[in-house]
Parts: sequence; structure tokens; C-alpha cells
Amino acid sequence: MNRRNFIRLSTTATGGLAIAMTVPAVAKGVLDKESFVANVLTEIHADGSITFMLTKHEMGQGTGTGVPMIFCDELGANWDTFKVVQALHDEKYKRFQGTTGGSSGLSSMWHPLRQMAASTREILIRSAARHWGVSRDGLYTENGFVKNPSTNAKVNFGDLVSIAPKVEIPDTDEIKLKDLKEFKLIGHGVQNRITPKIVRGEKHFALDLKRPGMVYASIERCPVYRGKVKTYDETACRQVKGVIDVIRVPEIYEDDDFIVRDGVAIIAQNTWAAMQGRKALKVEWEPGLNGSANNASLTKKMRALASVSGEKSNDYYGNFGDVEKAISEADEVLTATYENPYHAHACMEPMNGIAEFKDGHLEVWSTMQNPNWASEQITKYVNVPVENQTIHILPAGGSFGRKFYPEHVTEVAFLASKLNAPVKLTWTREDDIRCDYNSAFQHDNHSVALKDGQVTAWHTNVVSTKSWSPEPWFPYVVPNKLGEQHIIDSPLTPGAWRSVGAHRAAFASEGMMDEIAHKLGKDPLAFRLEMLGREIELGEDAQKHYNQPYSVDAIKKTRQVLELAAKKADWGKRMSRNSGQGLAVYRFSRSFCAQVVEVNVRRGKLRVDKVTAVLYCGTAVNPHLVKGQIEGAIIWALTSVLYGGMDFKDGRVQQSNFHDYKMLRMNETPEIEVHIVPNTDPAVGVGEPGVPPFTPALMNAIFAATGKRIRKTPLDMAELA
Amino acid sequence: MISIKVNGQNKQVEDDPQTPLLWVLRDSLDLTGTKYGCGIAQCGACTVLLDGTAVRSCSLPVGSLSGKEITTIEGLAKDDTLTDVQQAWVEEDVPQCGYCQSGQIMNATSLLTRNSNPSDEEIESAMSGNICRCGTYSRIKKAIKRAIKS
Repeated sequence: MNRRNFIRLSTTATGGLAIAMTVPAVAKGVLDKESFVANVLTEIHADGSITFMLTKHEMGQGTGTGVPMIFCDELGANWDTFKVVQALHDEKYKRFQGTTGGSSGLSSMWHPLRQMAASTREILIRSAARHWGVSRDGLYTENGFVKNPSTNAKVNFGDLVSIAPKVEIPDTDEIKLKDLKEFKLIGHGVQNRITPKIVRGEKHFALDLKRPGMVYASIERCPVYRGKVKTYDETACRQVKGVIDVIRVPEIYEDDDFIVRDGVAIIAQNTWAAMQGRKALKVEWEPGLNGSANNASLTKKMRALASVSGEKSNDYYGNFGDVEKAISEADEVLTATYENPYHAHACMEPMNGIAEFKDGHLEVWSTMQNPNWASEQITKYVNVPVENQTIHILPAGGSFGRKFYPEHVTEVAFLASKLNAPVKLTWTREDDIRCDYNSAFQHDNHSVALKDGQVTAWHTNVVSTKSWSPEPWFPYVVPNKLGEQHIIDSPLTPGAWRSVGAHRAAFASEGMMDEIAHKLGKDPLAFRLEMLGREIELGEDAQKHYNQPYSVDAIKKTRQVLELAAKKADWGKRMSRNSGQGLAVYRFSRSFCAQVVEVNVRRGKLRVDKVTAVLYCGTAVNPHLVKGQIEGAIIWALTSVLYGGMDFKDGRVQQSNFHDYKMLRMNETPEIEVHIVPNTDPAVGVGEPGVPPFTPALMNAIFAATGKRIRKTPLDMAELA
Repeated sequence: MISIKVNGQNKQVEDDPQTPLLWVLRDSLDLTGTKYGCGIAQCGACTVLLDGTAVRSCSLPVGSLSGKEITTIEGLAKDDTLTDVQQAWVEEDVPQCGYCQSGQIMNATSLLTRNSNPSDEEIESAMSGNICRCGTYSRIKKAIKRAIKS
């Protein structure tokens, strides 16, 4: 749309085109016959409809609905005519187009979007005031109109698009955000924007797209992390019907966060032919440094480090006091190790992408949590400068951290650069399970000193394969604390998994809290509440730690979710024989989640009867979707306990597909009840916080039912017999 | 050349007869509502109806299908009117990522065709072949129950 009559730059101190992205004000007003460009994300059309650019990645967590709701509601626009368009990767969206991950989408957009929307609202109100020749005082927006309560007059936003660029742009301090109770969508909920398309089977994912003359690719990758192709023979492969070409894909290893595995691509007339071609390809691999790795040897290595002091780490929520002294003076020291295996993401949509390289320009359609990174890798490894790239970001069929790693984008871009046709790359399920970026293999060793019935010191020594932050969190008040860690090389590709590393840390520390409670003969809920509020003598460093606003806030919210979960689940109720309740709480991405799990264990058979979850997530923007995220997170965590864990031998993942890497199914799904703590705080993330508390709550419930303490996942059912 | 009937229309395809129906639908006929999830009939993402009964299109060679009626997710709604099952999915707002849902809807459609009032256990048993990694199972179940009532 280039029928712009004039461009008027903001007169505010922050004015200018580039700043439009970083200021809440409408810094650029563009008058178009048909539309008013309010800011870099929003265009208001003459028919009253609005186009809003979505810069976050929809992957099932609902951000593609939640983020636009924030803008629409603050503006007072009409949701039915609020069109949401996925933004291309573009420098102009820089401020809003960082990684979608870590459950940060809503929390990072909440304030800037509300300010931008409120600024746009003020402009529309001023426009209406000018249109009517009245003062702006008393005017308000509702459902796509500016309304004047004293005259009952109303004017559609669309009728103001030619006036809007002429009114004075409000300064930031003139913008007033709505009170939470004024919201019509936020907190009430709207339908997931993808639902109507999905139920009709309309095109939605990158895999669904087709380019004229497109060919199809499948890549045989080295099954061992960092292994290489030694030799390969493509003769038989080229004879497979439909096979067009065979292209060597050389390894790109930047660091453990970015690797394109060494492999050979088969290019064919359709996906099936490409897969058949792969079967006929003969490859001999050079497995390299990870070629002899297996579960047992890694476990042994980790166990050997359990009692060896690791590197002191501030990641473990404060180092203060004198742990050694407290341990030496203790009546008793409880020591336990909690063991976590590698897990795969197993998104239903396998990794995929389409790329087309023409006249030096590369166009890509794919799914990615981090488009900036994808673009950088294309620049570096496919030698296409950013100005010659067009990157379409398509919704993901599940991601959970997997599509943060953009190697599929680099792969397909590389293939396109070698071909004279657009190419679609589809990973098989086997590729997906065997070449994942797995969550870390990790052992958490905890030693807790007890004296006179009190916890006097807490020592954590984590042994982990390389990974993203282990996301430990610890709200409880202890006078002496020390966190240490050993990070060792990973024989499988390390990566971030739903809740990054919090599921591992939570399993250990919340299991340990249960162990201590039982040791001291205390109720696990009462013990937690006591540990959150106890008034004990603390050294200067410890006082400083617990008095910082972050700690005070964490203690308050932890209590809130624990108390509500206990109430909703009827904590401490009489349970039948072989049944038990377990409790755990954790924080992730500023959200807090407590869960009570009820199980029955009979003759070695585990039945999860009910899970009650309580979530503090600030303002719950779209409650139906929020609850769905928590239900999904619980099913995710239960899946990992029952069926998770990669078996690897000679560096190769042994599982390959859903028959041996199982997923929880409908008939195994427990009853799940989700409650949201009502509050008026800014919205924070909901995609991941439901994962960490589940596993410890489950294991604590198993202990309550059977007296058996399980400190290892996946759960070995033989231990329950 | 193989003749198949998809969503009421006769189609001629040039694929190898061994090609699974899934890839014929997706790559040759551009009917991409049917999804690839595992390729070994484990996840149900590729479910379509064959003469009204749910089948796994990833494991069904196209050469075996002449004369059969194939219905995909795109063929459910008639003149833009959703079926009861689709409508129930909308009302329960089931999808999270949405990738598995066409397979879930096709399987639920097949279930309700042969059993208009399934019990909870029958629903769970019939639907246990379809994986949803987002974990929308409770909403799928609610949607099926809603479709039963309508």
C-alpha cells in the first residue's frame, strides 16, 4: 500500500521513524486514503477494521491470541474486525521480535502494547473531539467507536483515519492506562484465533504450503552428535523413482547451541520418494568423540561427582552463612540424589521448512522461536545477507523449546541455495527423536543439616550435562546455604525443553522438602509454610537475600498458591488405603504454580486420580487458554515420568518413534482441575510454569501412598511393586 | 495413473501405487489438512475416513484404494456448514497448536458414526490412538460429549 499522502513525524522528543518502535506514543502518523498507521504494529482502516502485526511466535501456547487481545482491549477496538497478521522477520519490529520463549511473550508485551494502544486511543479520542467540535473530556472508546456520553453520539474508528494524523500526539505522561475492571476481553477470554482454521483443516503450518515447481527433501543425518559422514554411496538412491538429486550437507558446528548435523540430503518429486531414496542411500559414519557414550557410563560419571565439591554457583539462589560449620554441628544430615534423564520434545509437527533461492534472494517459510537467530545463521552459513532474505514465520505445531534452535531453517536455506527450485524439507519422526536438542541429563545432590528439629543448612551440588540455565528456585528461609555445580560435556545435543531446566531442579528440591517434612514428622504443607515464614536468626548476607523485594514477593506468592491449592484439593483429607496426596510448588517466569496430586498404587500399578493446580500468573489474559496450558503442562510432565528418557548406546538414541518413545494418551489422562489466583498484577507467562511442580508432587504422593521414595525419572514401575 | 475418490470428487494421481495415501493427499492433491506425525500408524495425525471408517492414511498404499470413498478434514463441512463434531470443537475451543486436531476430529467423527452415544470408556478407548502432545485430551472428550448431545 503506497498511496501515502504524507508522513508526519512526531513532534515529541522521542519522535522519528526508528523510535516509533521503542516509544509508546504514536510516533509516526501516516495518512492513507484507507488507513491510519498508528504505530509499527497497527494500521486502522477506513472500514473500521484494524490490522495488527503479530511479532511473537504462535506454537500452541496461545500467544497469537493473547498478545493481540492486550492491544485490542486497551484501545477499545472491536475484536471481530481486529485482523492479526503474522509479521515477517524485519528489523523494524526489532523491539518486539526477539525470542518467543521462556514463557516471556505476554510479560514482555504487556506494558509496551498497553502504552501503544492507550496512545492510539487518545489520538482517536482527540480526532473525534475535533470531528464533533467538542472537548476530549468525557469521550471514551468502546468496541471500535469513540463515544460521547453527553450527546450519545458515536463515531467509528474508521471514520477518523483522515483526522487522526492531524491531531496532536499525546506525550507519554498524558496517556492513562485502563483500569483492569474496564477490560472487556482481558480476563474474560476470547476464542483461540486458530480454532476456526484448524477445525476446517485449512492451511496453517509451513508444512502445508506449496510453491510452484517445488521439490521435496529428506536428510540422512549422522545419528551420533558431532559424528561425520565417512563415506556414502548414492548409486542405488538415484535409481529410486522420483529421486532428483543427492546433496551433501556438511556439518555446521558453532557451539553446542547450534549444530547442523553432518548428512546427505535426498531431493525428490515428493516427500515419500525422498524418504524412499534415503532408505537406498548407503552411508558409513565416523561417530567421533561421542561414539561410545551410553546411559550407564554417563550415570556412573555423574554419580562419581556427587560427593565432589563443584564450582560455587550463584545460580542456586544465594550462597550465605557457613554451610560446612552447620553441617558439622548438625544432629543429622539428610542427603539425597535426584536423577533426570535426557528427554526429547517430540512436537507433533516435525521440523520443516520451505526455501526458495532466486536471483540472490532467499525466501523462507518455516517455524521458529527465534527469527533473528535464524536470519543470522542464514547470513553466516548460506551467505545470503539479511537485506536479501525474506523470512516468513509460520505457526508451530508444538515447539516447547525445540524450534528455538533454527537448524532446520539453515538446512532448508542451504538446500535452496544449491537448487534451481523451491524446496520443502520435512524431518521424519525418527529424525525428530534421534536428532533432538535434549533437556540435560542431570543429578541434583542435596544435603540438608537438621538441628533441634530445624533446617540449619542446605547444600546443593548439581551435576549436569551442558544446558541452558538449570532454572533452580528456592524461596525457603535457611540460615546457611551453598550452591555448587559440575557442568560436563553432553554426548547428546543439549537444549531447552518445556520449563527449560526448572523441571529438574523442582523434582529435587521439592522432593527434598517432602523428605525433610517426613523426617521431622511434620505435614508437608505446614512445613513449607513454616519454612516460608520462619523468624530465625540470619547472618547479614542471608538477611540481605531474604529482604530483597524479589524474595519477599516470592514468599508471598508461594504462600498464596500453596494455601489455595491445599484448600481446593482438600489437603490432608482422609485417603483410602494405597492412596496418597502429594504437594509441590515452583516458580517459572514470574508465575507460581502449586499442585496437589492424588494417586493410588496397588500391586505395583500406579493410577494418577487427580491433579489440582493453582496458578498465579498475574492477570490471566485468556483464562480458558491459560487453564489449557496448565492441563497440557501436567500431561507433558506425566508423560516424561512414565515414558520419558532417551536410551542411548554408542552415542545413538535407541528410540525412534512413538511406539518406543511413548506419549500419554487420552485413556491415561488424570482428572485435572486448574484454579487461577485472582489478582490485578501485570500478565506473566503460562506456557511452562505448570511443568516443574508436577513430578515432585507426584513422587511425594507416591511416598504418601506407599512409603517409597522415588528419586529418579522415568519411573521404574518395578520400584512400586 | 490411479483413480481415487476424495471428498466426493474423482481424482487421477500419478504416484507410485505403494505411496501412502497421506503423501498423495498432501503432496499431489494439496489437501494438507491431513497431517504427518509418525508414518507408522502410531499417532493418528493422518486419520481420514475410508468409506466412513477412520483409517491411518500414512500406512495405506494409494494403489489399494480405487473405488473407495475417502473423506478428509476438508470434506467434512458442507457448503461452509460445520459438522456437529467440528462445531463442538469450536465451542469447546479445543486446539492449542492444532496440529493433531484434524486427525482427532476425523476419528471422533468415525466413532460417532458407528456409536451415537458412546460412554466415557468407549470415547477414551476409541480416541486412545490419537496423540496430542499439547495435552488437549480433556477438551477433546468434552467436545465429543457435546457433539453427542447435538
